[in-house]
Amino acid sequence: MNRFKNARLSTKLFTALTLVTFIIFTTVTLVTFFIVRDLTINSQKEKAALLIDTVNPAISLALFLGIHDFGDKLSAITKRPEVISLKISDAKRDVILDYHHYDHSTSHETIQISENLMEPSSLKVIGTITLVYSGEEFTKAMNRFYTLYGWISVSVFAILWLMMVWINHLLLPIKLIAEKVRNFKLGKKIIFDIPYSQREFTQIIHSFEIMQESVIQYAQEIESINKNLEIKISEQTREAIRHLYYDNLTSLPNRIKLQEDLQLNDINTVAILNIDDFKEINDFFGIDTGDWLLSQIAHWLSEMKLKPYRMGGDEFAFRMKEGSSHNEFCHDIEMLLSLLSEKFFMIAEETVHVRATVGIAIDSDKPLIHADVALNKARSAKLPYSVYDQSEGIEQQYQANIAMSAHIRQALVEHRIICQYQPIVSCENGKIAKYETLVRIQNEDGSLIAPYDFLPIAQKTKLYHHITQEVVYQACHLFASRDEQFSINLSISDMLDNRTVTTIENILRQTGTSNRIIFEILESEGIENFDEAASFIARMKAFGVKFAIDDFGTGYSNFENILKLNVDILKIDGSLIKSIDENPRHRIVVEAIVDFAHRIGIDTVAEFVSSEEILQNVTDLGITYAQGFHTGKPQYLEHKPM
Amino acid sequence: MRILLLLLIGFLFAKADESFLMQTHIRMLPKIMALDTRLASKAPSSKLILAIVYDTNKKANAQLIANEMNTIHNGKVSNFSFTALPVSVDELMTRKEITFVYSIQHTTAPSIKKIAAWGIANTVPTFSYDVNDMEFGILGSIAIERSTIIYINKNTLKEGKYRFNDTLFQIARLVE
Repeated sequence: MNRFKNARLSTKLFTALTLVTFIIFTTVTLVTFFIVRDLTINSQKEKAALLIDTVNPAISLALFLGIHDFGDKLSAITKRPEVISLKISDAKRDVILDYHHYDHSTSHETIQISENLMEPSSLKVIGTITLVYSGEEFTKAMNRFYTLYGWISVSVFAILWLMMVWINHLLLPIKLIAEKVRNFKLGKKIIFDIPYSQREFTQIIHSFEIMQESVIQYAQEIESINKNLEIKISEQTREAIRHLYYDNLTSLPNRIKLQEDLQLNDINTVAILNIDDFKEINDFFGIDTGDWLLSQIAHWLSEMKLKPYRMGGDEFAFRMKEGSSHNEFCHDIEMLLSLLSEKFFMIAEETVHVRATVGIAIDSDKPLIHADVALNKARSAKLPYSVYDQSEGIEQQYQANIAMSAHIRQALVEHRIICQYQPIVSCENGKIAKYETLVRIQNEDGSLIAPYDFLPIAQKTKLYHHITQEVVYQACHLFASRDEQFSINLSISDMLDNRTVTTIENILRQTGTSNRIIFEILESEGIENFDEAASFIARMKAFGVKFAIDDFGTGYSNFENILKLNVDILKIDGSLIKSIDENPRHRIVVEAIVDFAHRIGIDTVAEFVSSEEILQNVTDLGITYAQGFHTGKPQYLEHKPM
Repeated sequence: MRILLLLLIGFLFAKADESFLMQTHIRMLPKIMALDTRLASKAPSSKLILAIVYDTNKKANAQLIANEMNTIHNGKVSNFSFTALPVSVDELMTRKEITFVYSIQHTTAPSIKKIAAWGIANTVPTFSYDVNDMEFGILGSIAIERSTIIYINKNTLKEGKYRFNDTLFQIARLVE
């Protein structure tokens, strides 16, 4: 079917024509055949019947009268060559006459006609006459018919073949046009020269010529558009490359460019320069001014011929020049820092002095990471620059911190954050008055990780609040079944975290331990974030919570602020307590703290009480409670049945 | 002797021939009667009467023929019932119910004439044993020549306004 669909038009036309002709011709032939055959055979039958009718009355009467001599009466038909045989039977089917004409030489179809012989007066059947008539005439007529239709068939199919040739010839221009259109190429105009021009073909050619003009015009337009597009794409590509590899603010090559440059050649000595306290400049002058300053610094660095890169924020990087030594590079950096320290930048009609810290990685396989590590080291050590030293293991430390971060996260999920409780005893009677809650991570093997190993990392990774919430939950639920007071350390970040504060409030409401809980705040944190700490303390005091200043005596806070914070307990820093015997200055400080506490009516706790002598001393000084390994080690506590 | 033998043989042949002709007449005449198309209207009674007419001293012959005819046809021909009766010439003149007349052999010429005239007058077909009687106005006779031939007197047919089934005329030979 698909083959016919895709066939040539001439084939389709010819096939359709042949099919239609065949159907019509076959129908006409069959109809004619049947008509001719029936007419011929009926004609023959009628002839035979006529013959019988001619003799029937006489034969009937003769039979009726018993005259069995039919010779004269039948001679009229028996002498006819078409009559092959004639048989007359009486009513009893006894054959009275059986005539056969033996002369027929050819065998043809025969026609047999029988008629009843009737008694003339009563019309009773008195016999039968049967005539066998030669079909020779019928056969001849049919043969003439076949011959005639054979010739007609030949003529029809000859006409069809001629029509096919004619159709092919008529459609030839279409083939020529298609061939020319198929070979059409831009820039080479088609000229349609066909052998003859019927109106349809001239119309097609005219349409093709119009289309050709349009195509050429469109092609020219497209070519023009393409050229413009190519220019634009080229510009966009350049712009994209610029965006990809260059910093928008300073127009310096960026971190990606530096990484590619590092991959292109073997120089792996890199320095990263960080502007010190740039955040303060941003905060003070605004981001726009900060950006303007950065662009000035970038411009200045470019003038230093060190080919700077901008790494992002307030960080720039330099790559060692080809042919330069490590010492020369370090020397150049030193010179740069020196010049920068003397350089003044103008911001809003004010001069700004900019300092910077540099981290250098020499011949490193991870130059950017190592330079960053060295930068952090320099900033921590307050050095103008630092060179990465693999032997210091700083990178390993970072890796350990990352591992610890994952460990903390896992411990939180698996509920391996646990609490131990260190007793705080009354100096007056030596009895346990309260406990301080100390957090640990329990390893899978049961061993414990001390808080100073994971809390600093937890603070950096924002897991600290989750630990605080877990500790408050465990301690409050434990002491809900006990009657001692208990303290928990809180950082200023916990107090500033709304979710942590809400969780603490909910736990206090659920456990009803708010009048026995004491939150310990580091002296340094409490004073540095005074307003936030005061607000939190006031909010919690409404629940009946008490507050203690932890490690008091190490900071530089004044007593007025302590008064304003409205705390209930001062925990004297262990460094003052543990050397109270040997260091008179420490003793004086402790005495002053105790005196201050007595005067404002709050309790004191001595930390790091590690011996009986120290206990005796703190008792003598009038400190209310003592805490340390001597008075009680951190321990697990159990729920007491209510 | 030889002459006597020849005469005897000739006599015997003549007798056999007469007998065969008579038998043919006996078999065919009722059937020819049935071909009369006015037959139904001519016979008021249920039975047709086929008169076997004789001269004065031939009643036995006529009776014999009538009996033979009644036996062979069993009183029926075609759809009609009939009876063959010996009737004298004089008696014939008085009877009206007769539908067919057959004049037996050796009927005299005057009787034949009377019979023929009576037949014409009453439109009753008259057939005779002897073909020559047709000269006196008898309607028809049957002869055996090469084949059995029915002779019809054309003039009598017209004169007596007889009506027969047309087929009869296809096989009969009309004479004047």
